[in-house]
Amino acid sequence: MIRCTNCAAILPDENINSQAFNPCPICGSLVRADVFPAANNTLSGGSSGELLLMDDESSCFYHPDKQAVTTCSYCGRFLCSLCDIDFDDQHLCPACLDSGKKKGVINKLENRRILYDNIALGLAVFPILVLLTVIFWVFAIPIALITAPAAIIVAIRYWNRPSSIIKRGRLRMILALPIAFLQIAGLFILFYSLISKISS
Amino acid sequence: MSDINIPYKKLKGSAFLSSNRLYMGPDHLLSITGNFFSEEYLRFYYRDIQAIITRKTIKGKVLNICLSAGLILFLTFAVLLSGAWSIFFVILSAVFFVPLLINFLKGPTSISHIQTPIQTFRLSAIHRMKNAIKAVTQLKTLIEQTQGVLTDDLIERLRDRENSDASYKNLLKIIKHENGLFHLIVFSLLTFHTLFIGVDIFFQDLMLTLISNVIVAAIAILLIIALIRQKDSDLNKIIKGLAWSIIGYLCLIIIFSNILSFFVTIQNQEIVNNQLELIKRMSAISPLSNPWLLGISVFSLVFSLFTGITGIVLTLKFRKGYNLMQEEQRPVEKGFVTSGLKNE
Repeated sequence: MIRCTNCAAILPDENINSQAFNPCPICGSLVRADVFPAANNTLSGGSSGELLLMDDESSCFYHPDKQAVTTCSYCGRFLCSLCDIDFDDQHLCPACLDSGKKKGVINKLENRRILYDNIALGLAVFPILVLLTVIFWVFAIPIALITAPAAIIVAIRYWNRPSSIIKRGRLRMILALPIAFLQIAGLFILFYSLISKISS
Repeated sequence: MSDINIPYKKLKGSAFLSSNRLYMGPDHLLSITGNFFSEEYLRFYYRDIQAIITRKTIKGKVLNICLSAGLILFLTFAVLLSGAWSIFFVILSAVFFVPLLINFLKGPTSISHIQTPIQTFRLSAIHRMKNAIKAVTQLKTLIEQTQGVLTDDLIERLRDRENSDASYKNLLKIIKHENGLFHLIVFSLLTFHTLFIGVDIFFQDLMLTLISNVIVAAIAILLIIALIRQKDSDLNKIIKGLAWSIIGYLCLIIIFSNILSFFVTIQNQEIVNNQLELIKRMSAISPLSNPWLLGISVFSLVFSLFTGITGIVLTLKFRKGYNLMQEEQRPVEKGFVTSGLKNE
């Protein structure tokens, strides 16, 4: 059912695949709906699995009293229709699906990534941003003492870790390293000159 | 972690600076939501997409109205004042003008949803109509390559399913009829108040000020009632919008009044605890002698007159239209139910 997203009224034919915005009959909002054949598909109800009737039939690995209908594409275990997970044109058992997601083996299940390249660059650049503020510039030095080494550690430790799922190069990591090293060098020079002044 | 190189192409029309981005994969649409440190992914497979629904919103218009109001206000001050203050208000006007121009050039706003068997997901990366059309055109090609084209007999089957399913009626938002009486009174009072504003520019009197304040208080109270009644009603959208704009105007008036009373109190510290004396002193100030006051008075005059008259005309037209409809006894169409019709 194709509904108006404002008032949930079912949209008439004028709003469907008309290539134009037409008013919703209830709320009057201008709506355009591009509908595809999948709109006629209904969700198929799940099956609880058929009971094992004959001794010579294969049983499910997880439910010994249920008939096996397929095998897992990853581990080869027999699966009943309850355990069978149809994913990406393959049949999986719940355990393989879970471990596949955790280990990152099943790429299409990956739904989160931490962007270590952004974190490294952010840590490297943050003291510079603080320095550019008029009021808080004095805090840039103690902040750099923490963030510059942290940026180097993150960049080296997670160098090979993939960043965004949208392929991008290592530019951020590459930029983070010299910026962080320069900050450390600057801090070193600053402390050295301070110590020299104090001792003289 | 697996990093199979799936070729993704950015969806045309998805916003550049947005926490949500859309990419087209070989067999799915990828939605990325993230901040600077992490990203979350949602995949919509083309074979599962039932519909893409795009609806125009008034967000762009509202933004235009707010920015225009600010621009007009600050331009008024820039014209009436001179020297550094004029330059200051010109700069402020530019601050309002630039986003107004950008918003105008970007075109009307919209909201798009993608419908699958399980959910209807909002595509927050697309919020302009022009961009929505571009995005839908691109996606449609890919989806139709996977699913085929929706033919007439498939639409028939869809309609048959909708008509046989009675449960959808429970989901319809109940739209009630609102006769607009309170709106009419508010707009009428606002128009009447214009007289007091006009007279106040040339002639200052305590009684006039007090009556004017009572009228404004009455407008505020009746407006709140009108706003409550107009929610989920069949009242004309422009009338609803005008009611909201009056709230904004009243807030501005309250802010200016407080600023004025602050300055009067500073100049006359002996009247700090004497409200009546404060009102007397404030009502005695002539807008003609003070460019700030004149600017506010002119703005109030124009706004009240324009909004009041427009509101009255539109409300009367709406009421007349509804009465005509009632007389003709238009039949209720199957599947589209309105409830809460009130007898006037």
